[in-house]
Amino acid sequence: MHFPSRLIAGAAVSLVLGSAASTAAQEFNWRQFEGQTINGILNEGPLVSAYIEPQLREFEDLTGITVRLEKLADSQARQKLDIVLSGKDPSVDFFNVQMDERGGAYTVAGYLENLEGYLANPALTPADYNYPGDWAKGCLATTKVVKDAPLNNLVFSAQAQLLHIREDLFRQHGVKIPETLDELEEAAKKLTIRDANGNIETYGFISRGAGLQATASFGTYLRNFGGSWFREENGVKTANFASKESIDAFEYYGRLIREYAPPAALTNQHAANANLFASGKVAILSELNFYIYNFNDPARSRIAGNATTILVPRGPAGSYPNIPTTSFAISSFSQKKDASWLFLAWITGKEQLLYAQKNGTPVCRESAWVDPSYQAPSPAWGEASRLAVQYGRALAKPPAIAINEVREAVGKVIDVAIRDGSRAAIEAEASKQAAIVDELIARTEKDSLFTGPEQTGQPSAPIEAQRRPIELIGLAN
Amino acid sequence: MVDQAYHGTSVRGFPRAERARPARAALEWVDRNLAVIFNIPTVAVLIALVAIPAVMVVYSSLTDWHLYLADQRQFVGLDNYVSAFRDERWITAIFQTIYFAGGSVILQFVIGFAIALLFNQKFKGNRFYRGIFMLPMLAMSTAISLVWLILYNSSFGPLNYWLVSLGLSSVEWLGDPRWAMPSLIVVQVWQWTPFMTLLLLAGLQSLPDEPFEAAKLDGASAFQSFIHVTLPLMRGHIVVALVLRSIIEIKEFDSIMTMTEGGPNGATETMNMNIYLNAFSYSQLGMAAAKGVIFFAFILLIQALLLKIRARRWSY
Repeated sequence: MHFPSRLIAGAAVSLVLGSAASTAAQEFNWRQFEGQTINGILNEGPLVSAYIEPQLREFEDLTGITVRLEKLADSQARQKLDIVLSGKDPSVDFFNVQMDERGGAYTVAGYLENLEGYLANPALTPADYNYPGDWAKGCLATTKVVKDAPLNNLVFSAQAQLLHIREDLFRQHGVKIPETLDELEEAAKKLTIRDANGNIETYGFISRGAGLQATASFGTYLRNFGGSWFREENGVKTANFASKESIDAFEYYGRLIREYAPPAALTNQHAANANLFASGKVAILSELNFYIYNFNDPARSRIAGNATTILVPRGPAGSYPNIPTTSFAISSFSQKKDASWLFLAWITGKEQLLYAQKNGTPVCRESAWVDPSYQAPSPAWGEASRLAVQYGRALAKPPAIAINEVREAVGKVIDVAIRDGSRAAIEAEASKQAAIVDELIARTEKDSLFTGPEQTGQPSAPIEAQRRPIELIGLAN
Repeated sequence: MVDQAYHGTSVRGFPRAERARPARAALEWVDRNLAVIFNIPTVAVLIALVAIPAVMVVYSSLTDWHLYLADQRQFVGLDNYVSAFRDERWITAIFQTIYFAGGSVILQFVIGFAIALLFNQKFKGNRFYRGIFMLPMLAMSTAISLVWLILYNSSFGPLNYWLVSLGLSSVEWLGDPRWAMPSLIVVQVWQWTPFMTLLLLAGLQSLPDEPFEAAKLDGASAFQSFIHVTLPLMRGHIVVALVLRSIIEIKEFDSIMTMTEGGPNGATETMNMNIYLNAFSYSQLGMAAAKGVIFFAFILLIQALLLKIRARRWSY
């Protein structure tokens, strides 16, 4: 049988076109919400400038959706969201939220859209999205803060509270890089360097010492000593920061700041502490890890090339890195939830979070940390930050609905620990504030299912993990 | 026909006067009520932007309203007011407000009056120096506060650098509860003394010359002339300046928020800061509203006291 060549060619073309059409039908439809405009409120900073904004155009071209961002400083963003959400205003579609901060209150109030249906819907979520498969365990542990609540946020930023150190000063003065809290105090003491007139030239240590913000840095020290913000007794949530282990932590943290930090630590915001470290005035800084990008930038730092990062040293109870993560969420009152989800699914996609990872936002996707194209700002920073993402928990804030009042209460104990430092004074203040917090919890969390992010029960980072970043620095310890 | 036309009958037979009557009546009504009509837009705006929010604040102050639990808002009567006066922190905030505003206004008045007297003299370059002197009050309060934050930095700020250079010990300007409030007052005095000077200088320049000439003829010294002539004549201007500055200082927020956020340990928490924290940090809108109403009454009280002083009959 002989088929005319034209017929064969026509059949072949039909086959190719047909299969192409069928593939296209299975492909994810990014343009399903073309023409819609969605509005978001985001915290100003690297999150927007180095992660979202540079990629926004690509998303808009891909989907035909217009994304309008309102960028506000942290506290303004929170205040605006409080008002917009409590007023059930549909004009805001998505925003970023820290689940260990406002997340609990927003969940209890019903402001956050349940995202489980969106994740399970193949028409709305690309097949290769891989949630939670590609997400670090530590990050995932910070997403749920209310018992039996559905998934209502997409965690993406895995910034961690770590220890930035001046590698050159450690080398120059022959100081051991600390693996334990005792060694940290020893290093801070040795690196508090005075000039010929006895004036302090370089301070050994700095961490947050002012008010409620101080809880964010103190959280790791508290857990490493075996203390905790709260304990549960007979189903009743009670303040635990007056326990013996907690007092040990306050005493240690207060002493380190009082003896080895510049006095400005009592009033500085964290950016000011980071600036002191970048100016070369401080040898060890306990702060968020993303600051390494400032320290390594010669335009913004006098110590470029000399800063690296390790885990906060382990204490008597172990090593518990602190990851105050940030998530995206969709407002329950949004009228463009599907388009908003499409944006959040895209901006937290594998490639987009790898872009963020390369540009200064440590992310929750495991794949971004092991991608061959990603190079950490320093090997030790990369290792310590990744360990934090794996072993970390959200320890920065006491888990409470009335979070700011509780943080202020703890901040007062930290203040006494720094200024006075005597154990009796710390115990007295801690007991006083614990009683205030207990009353506050009884009043604000009555019948509430709020649990806060998972903080206890997780294993400590193993000793060998603690050592890994230090070994990468290559100093003889 | 002439009479008819005169009496307003049109060619079509309709009485012109009758047709024009409603329009004329309307015009007359407008004419009679012109004052009311012209005020309607203002009153409408005031009702929308002042009266309604004020009523809402008063109503909110009678409810237990947590921002996140708006649906569970309950009427609690005067509970928030009772709780406010049992709140030690609020009571402390009232005294700290008096300390902050009183300290700022008294210093601004003393320094401002002295400088106003100086600028009231004729000397070369008076206008130039006056212009330079007025600059601080033109700057944005937040920007000024940020500059002072650097000056006050306890470790690397120039103030402590100079103190240490003089052999003195450094001071925790904003970190020490004893120093934080005076440090904030200094910023207020630096920025707002020019405004006080401006108000008082305007008063000084409006005074008649005769009483001063008479005092001079009677052999009064400059000091006596100041005490017995200038001060009494300036009474009205002084009270206006004090009322204005007191109200503004009691309401001051930006510099406190920027420099201390009410800290350290609440040492600079004024009534305004306390209300802000209640509303936006603790989300207790009912309590914040109650404290707002008390705050409003507090300002009215201060204003009434000062105006009473002004209204008092003085004998010289």
